[in-house]
Amino acid sequence: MNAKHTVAKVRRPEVRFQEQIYLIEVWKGLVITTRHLLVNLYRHLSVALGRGGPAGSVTTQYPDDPQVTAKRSRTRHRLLKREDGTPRCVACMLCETVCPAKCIYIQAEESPDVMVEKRAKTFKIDLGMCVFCGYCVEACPEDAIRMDTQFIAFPGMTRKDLIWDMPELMGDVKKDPKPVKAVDPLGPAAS
Amino acid sequence: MAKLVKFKLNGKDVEAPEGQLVIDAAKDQGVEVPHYCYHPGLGNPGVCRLCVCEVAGAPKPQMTCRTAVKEGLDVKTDSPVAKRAQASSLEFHLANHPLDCPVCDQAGECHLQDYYQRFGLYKSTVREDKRHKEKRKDIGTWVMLDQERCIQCTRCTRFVDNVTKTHELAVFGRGDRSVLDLYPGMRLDNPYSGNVVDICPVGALTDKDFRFSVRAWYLDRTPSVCTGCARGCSVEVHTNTKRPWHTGGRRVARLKPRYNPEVNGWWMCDEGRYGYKSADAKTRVKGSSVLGTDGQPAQLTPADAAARVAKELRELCADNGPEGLAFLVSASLTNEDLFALKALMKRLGVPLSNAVLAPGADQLGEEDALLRRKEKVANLSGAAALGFGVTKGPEALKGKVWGAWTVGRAGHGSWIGLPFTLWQGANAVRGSDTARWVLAGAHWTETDGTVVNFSGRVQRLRAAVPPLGESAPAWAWFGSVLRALGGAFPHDDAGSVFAALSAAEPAFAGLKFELPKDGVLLPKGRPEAATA
Amino acid sequence: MSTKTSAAPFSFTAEQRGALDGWAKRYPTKVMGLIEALRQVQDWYGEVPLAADGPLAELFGVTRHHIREVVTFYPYFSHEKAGKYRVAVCRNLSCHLAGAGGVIERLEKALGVPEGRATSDGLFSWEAAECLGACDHAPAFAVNDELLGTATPAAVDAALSGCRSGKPPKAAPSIAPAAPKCGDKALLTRGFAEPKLHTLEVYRKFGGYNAWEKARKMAPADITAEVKKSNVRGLGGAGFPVGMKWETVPPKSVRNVPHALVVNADESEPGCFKDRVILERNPHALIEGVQIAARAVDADHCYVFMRGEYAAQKRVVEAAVAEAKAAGLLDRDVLVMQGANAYISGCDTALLETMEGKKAWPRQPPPFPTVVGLNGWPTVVNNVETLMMVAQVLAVGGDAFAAAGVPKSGGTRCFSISGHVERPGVYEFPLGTPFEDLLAAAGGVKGGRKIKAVIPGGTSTPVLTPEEAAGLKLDFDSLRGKGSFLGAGGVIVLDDTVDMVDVLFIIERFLWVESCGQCTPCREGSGWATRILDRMRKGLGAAEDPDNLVRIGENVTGKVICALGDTVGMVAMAMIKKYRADFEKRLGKR
Repeated sequence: MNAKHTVAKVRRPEVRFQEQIYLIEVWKGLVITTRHLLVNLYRHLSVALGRGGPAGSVTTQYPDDPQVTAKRSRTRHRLLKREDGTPRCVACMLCETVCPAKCIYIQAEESPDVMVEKRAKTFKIDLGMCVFCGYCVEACPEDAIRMDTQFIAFPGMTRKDLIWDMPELMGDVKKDPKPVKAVDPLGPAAS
Repeated sequence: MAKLVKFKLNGKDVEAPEGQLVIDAAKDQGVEVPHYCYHPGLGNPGVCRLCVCEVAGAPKPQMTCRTAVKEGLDVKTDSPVAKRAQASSLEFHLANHPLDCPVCDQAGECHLQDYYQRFGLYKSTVREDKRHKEKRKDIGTWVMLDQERCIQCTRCTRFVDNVTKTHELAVFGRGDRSVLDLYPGMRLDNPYSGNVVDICPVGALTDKDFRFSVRAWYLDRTPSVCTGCARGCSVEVHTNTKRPWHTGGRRVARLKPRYNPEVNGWWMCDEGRYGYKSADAKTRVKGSSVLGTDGQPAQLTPADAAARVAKELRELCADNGPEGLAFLVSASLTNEDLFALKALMKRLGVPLSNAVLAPGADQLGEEDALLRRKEKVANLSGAAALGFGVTKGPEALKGKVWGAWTVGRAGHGSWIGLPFTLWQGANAVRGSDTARWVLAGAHWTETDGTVVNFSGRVQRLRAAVPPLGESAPAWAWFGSVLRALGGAFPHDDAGSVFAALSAAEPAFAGLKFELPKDGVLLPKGRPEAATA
Repeated sequence: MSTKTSAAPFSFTAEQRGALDGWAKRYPTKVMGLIEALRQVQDWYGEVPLAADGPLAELFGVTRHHIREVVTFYPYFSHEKAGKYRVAVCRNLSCHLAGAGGVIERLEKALGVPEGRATSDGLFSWEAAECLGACDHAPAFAVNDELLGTATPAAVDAALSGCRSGKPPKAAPSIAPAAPKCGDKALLTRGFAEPKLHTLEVYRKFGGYNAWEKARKMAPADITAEVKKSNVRGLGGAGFPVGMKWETVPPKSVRNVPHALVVNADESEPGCFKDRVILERNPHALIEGVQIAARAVDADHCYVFMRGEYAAQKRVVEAAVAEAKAAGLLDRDVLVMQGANAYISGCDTALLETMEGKKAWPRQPPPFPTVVGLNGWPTVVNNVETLMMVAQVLAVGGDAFAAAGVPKSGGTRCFSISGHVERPGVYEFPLGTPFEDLLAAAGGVKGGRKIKAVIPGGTSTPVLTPEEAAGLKLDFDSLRGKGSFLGAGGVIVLDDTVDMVDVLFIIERFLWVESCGQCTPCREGSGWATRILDRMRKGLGAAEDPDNLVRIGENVTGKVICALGDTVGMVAMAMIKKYRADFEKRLGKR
């Protein structure tokens, strides 16, 4: 900790006159932009004329057009229900323990069903802290949590709004914006 | 002491007392042998068949809990035969065991889980439906039973038969239809019922008080001593500071007994076990205050409180004489607290006999032949060893005092009208808020220090959590008032106080603050005046 | 817990108290009378009421939970209120082969109640019992522990109507071949042609009690020496040399406490019924043997522990004891104690636990019973037939007895043979006799069919293929050599109509029912094996089931407290190894 540092001298490139007057840089930028335009135009035309080749870039008109994600993406969590409508979660705390961001907060309580015994009273995920690693899904022994909703937007006006509890995570209280289209990365887009 | 003999353990030549059980000899050598039914305090029935070893010359595998060390014995607990037998015994234990781990409180401290990881690691081949028995059965004030999880080790039945002799539990039936159950109509309500939860290797018997509150792997464990009575059982304080929302903000989650062959063996009483709640109760006094002329308390910083109390005491002592100041002190204060008190009293000129430590009627309770002592205070013997009188009650001083400094016990009602009233402690009691000065005291779970039990054994308390809010240990309060009076108190931690105590007090001569884990007897033995 | 006994308050009548008191005073310790007292309470009330625990606990000096543990452990005490007449139909191997399944179905229909439930008039309840010790009358049945022989429709109907008219039938007398099939080599069954052999007068005519008169004048050590010379081995299952066992008893000069001799008459091994027959036909031979043995080991107390289902045999033995006592023949009194119908009570240390009024949980020697046994006293536990043979040893002399058998297995023994044979029954033969001779004595395989398997010593012994049985000499060491045991000599012959999966299922189910539950591998392993076999029986076997059963068997054998657990494994391993094809046929299409 008290090791002697030597400060390395970084040689920074000199700002030359042609860069200082800026106009050449502006022109260089415009060249790049124009190149993108022409290449994409060419590609779009190729596809439109049936000549194949790589597709041109498309700007998705999000949020009017749905966002497209791969089916296997780790997206916003959901808590699953049993057949009788009660949550599958038994508040075992494995997800809370394994979460590297420590963003899951669970409180347990007794379940009236003796074969279930334990359930979550509250199950909060701070989506603002979540790193979307998916460890909680792997850890869960009850298949009670999945990250397959395909929702990646969960806006809120405050940080507190990003903390979702059970009703939201189970889908009983709707907080989702427009739906998202999920694709199989190896095949055509599917909803 | 039996003579030492040589025998072979897993190929190594080792020595052990002749007649010692091989399972214990192995433990002494650092070799863990998995087991359920064996418990050093409850006997070795040898029914679980898990503690298997191979003994050279024996045709069948033997149980290490039923085999005694003798000269020339050759035992292997890690041979392929022994390991297979251990793994297969685990498999049989798990064959009908319900898949309850996610909902079972024992997870993280379960001998089935732990042993499976260390001695099992086989793939389950059970395809059949498991046997079903009664689950979630409330069997006592503190204990919940799940019959399906029970592995019939019989530890709990031996506990209630041989230790408490109350016979509430038994194994009824035959074969795999056997169930552990209460005798019909009985409840498990003896004063030591919580111990069955400790000895149950699995989640069959779980603590109702602790149920679903926090996962065991979140807990920190600190060795300390229970201050519930003069026995001073060695305990472990389990605290949850990692996930405060689990225990409802309570830091201290539970107490467990710590094995101490000299004090409490493996057990502790329910009164002590469930007395931890005071640490985070709403009655905790977190900040010091003084009653204003409007009758409302005004908050004070610790430094302020010490300074103003010192000033008032100096004036009152000068006007009325120090012999009019009484200290009503809980005998659960540590030796460090009491040593600091002595110094303070000396500085003020208050005679030592003005300190009342005898337990009040509310500090006496039930006693039994097992562990409980009737004095529900932890350091009566320490107080006596330090020279305090511990037998006279406050009546002797009635009418002769102008001030009462009360620590950790109920105030004496008729003294509240006195010019100087101060209440100091961790948990407010009835009438404590009517004292003019209130000082926030640290809880015993927040305290480092030493106490002496009824048989003269000194043990270490260790702080499991820092003091709540602005509370502080009693020795810190006495010390800061002492300093504010101009006296010397060059101590920042309990260890430093103890070093001074050990140097100054003959009863504690030669003792070090880092006491051995079982504690140590006072060099001069149990002080005579300790009995109340 | 499973018991549904009523918890309504009640108290015993003065007369009942007197009877219970009698049990408490009958034996050296009060608690030794507990099991029989509980049998009495069960007979009075059809159950042992929960509220009776308190008064019983007080009377016998134990806790209430001890009483309830015992009541929920033994099969004799019912979970629900039983009928006045409890009908038991054996469902074990020999009876199953003889059609017990049909008998049970018919009985259930006739009574109209499920197993264990009493009829609405409170008269009957029934159960499919484990081996009743009457395989020679397969399919056998009993009412209130009175063995009534073969359960033909007529016999069952007659029994039921007898009960209904208040005249419950008493046990049918045992039949044994009048002329011993081994000719003049017979020792125990030599007088079986004589119907009154069980009386003192007739027994004496056959030279009975001559051996005892001789032994009465011998030094105890000399008796033991003679027994050792004879190579007589335990005939209850373990085959331990008798003289060697007696020598481990510490003399009173070393341990000055009462010594005990206990006769193990708890014969419950499926396929074995020889004790039943010889007890009933030749009880004095037992009494004589007991007196001789008691003298040799300096026993102060002699008991015959009789299985609950041998009610008639208990009466016969007690009558014989009375006769012998009246004739001044007894140096030591003999008390007959009745068990509570558990197979595990036949294990010697578990037997002692039952005698001490506890659950029959076997102990773990050392110390062995001869050092610390009944009530902590040095105790010799010997089988019925073994002690009868002791009398023969003293009668003919140790050398002659040894010569009658083969080296290391002296003398003769009574074999039970049942299953697919023409004349099931008890046949005495010298040890070392070829299996073919025993089979011929029983009239050969029924219907002349081919043998598929032979169980040599009761269902707890590993099965033998016909090739292994051919030329097999029936003695302890020869059986060991074939990987099985002579055991209690209960031979069961299975013909080629038998499916070995069914056979193994019946055997494992029996072990599962009777397992005491004390140690984990047997408790869990027996149930697990039974459930796998049940699934296979229904054609739902999985590919790994046969190997898994063998693996379970290997894991249980040798890791348990008593031989019952060892059996769970050994029997399964042998069966699957030798008859794998049968098991593979039951694998479902998965």
